[in-house]
Amino acid sequence: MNHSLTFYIDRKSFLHSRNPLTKLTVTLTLMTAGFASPWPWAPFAMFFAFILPLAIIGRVATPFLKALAAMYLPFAFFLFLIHGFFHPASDDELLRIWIFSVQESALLYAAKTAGQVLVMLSSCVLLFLTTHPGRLMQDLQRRGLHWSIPYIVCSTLQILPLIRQRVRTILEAQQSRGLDTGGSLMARFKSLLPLVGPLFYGIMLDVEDRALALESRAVMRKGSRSFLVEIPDPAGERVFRYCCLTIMVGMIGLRTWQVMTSLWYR
Amino acid sequence: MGLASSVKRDFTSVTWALIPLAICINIVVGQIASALKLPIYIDTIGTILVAIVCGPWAGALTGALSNIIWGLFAPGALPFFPVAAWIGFIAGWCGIWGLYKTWWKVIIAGLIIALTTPFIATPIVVYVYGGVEGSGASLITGVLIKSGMKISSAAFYKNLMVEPLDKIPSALIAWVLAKQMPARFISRFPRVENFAA
Repeated sequence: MNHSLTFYIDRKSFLHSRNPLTKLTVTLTLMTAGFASPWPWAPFAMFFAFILPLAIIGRVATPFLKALAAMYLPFAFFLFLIHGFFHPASDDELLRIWIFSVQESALLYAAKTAGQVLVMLSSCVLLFLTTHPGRLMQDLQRRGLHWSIPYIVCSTLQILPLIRQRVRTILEAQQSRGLDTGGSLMARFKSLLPLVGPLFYGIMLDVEDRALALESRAVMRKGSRSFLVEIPDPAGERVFRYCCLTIMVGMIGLRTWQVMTSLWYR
Repeated sequence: MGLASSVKRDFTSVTWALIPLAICINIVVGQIASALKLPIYIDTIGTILVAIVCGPWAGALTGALSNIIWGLFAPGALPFFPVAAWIGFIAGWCGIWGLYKTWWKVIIAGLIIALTTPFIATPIVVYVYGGVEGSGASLITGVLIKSGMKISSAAFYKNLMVEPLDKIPSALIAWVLAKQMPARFISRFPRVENFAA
């Protein structure tokens, strides 16, 4: 199995040894808190108060910050570019550069969104850095998730490196036969089919093999399964998950109530 | 045909074998497109293919899981899983409506997919991302906001402009691939009658 595809880094830490569902619950709670908070700066505070320390506890702070920066910074750039400079002129203008007017309300909106997305992306990155997707899937299947979801997620992650290898082979083979992968837009569009075609028919042969294998292993049969690896789930974590769930429901309820009343009194 | 039997019909062992590979096609072709510096994503070919040969429910599952798996290495894609599910679902219905019989009907199918996805994608991109994606196409949204549109309408019209450029070629490629399969293979898929003449 190739782990280099996903973020997962195998280390011994407090976070790595928690139950996968507990980590998923914490991730969802953090995301809910980020989106339900009425204050624009709260998500940033959450990031520095909870998520970053958790990354340090999980001993993945460096890869965490690197992965986050690669994803988050381009988004934040476009967010502040669009909302900073592309709003039509209005009363709360802060400054004006040529035809571009920068406004307080638009910047606050961008900041609020930037905070929410920061919490969402960082908590997901942290979850995937410290939790192997296979382990998360197995734990969910043990709790009653339909077998198809873990099967699809895990087999896709296993096949993907092989397919990527095949793409490289096809690309090199077609280029050695004179396929031009540069040039005008139309030329590049045309070079798409000689690449996708062979890839696809190779994959189709795999489908046949895999279908036979699935049938012979009785994958679609009903009933419970036994698992090779036991995933520990201490009682303390179970209580902790229920607390998170209560907080989450409370936050969603409170936010809904706030929005409803503000609409009512308008 | 009841809902349960319609769902059940889509999922045979061939469908289960095809879905992970279709998700790989989505991801890999998406990467080829960006390697060739094509101005479109075309990252839904596998989803539309499953929808053509296995029906709307299998298409929806492929789309949703495709984004979730993509989310394992690019979490920004996660919130868009309902959009991908919708693409698979509506593409499957286009098959039931007989739109994968000739090439010009496939263009109509691509158009239907492209014109309905903004209704799902816009609320997500506005609520989660403030209407902005981390790509150059967001500048279109910016220009529309500058022209006096609300953020949500700007994001909606931007999607409406960009989607047909992406979904019509995707539907055509997926259809050509499905049509070109060897006959003995085609007969194993649950929705043969939707695309084979």
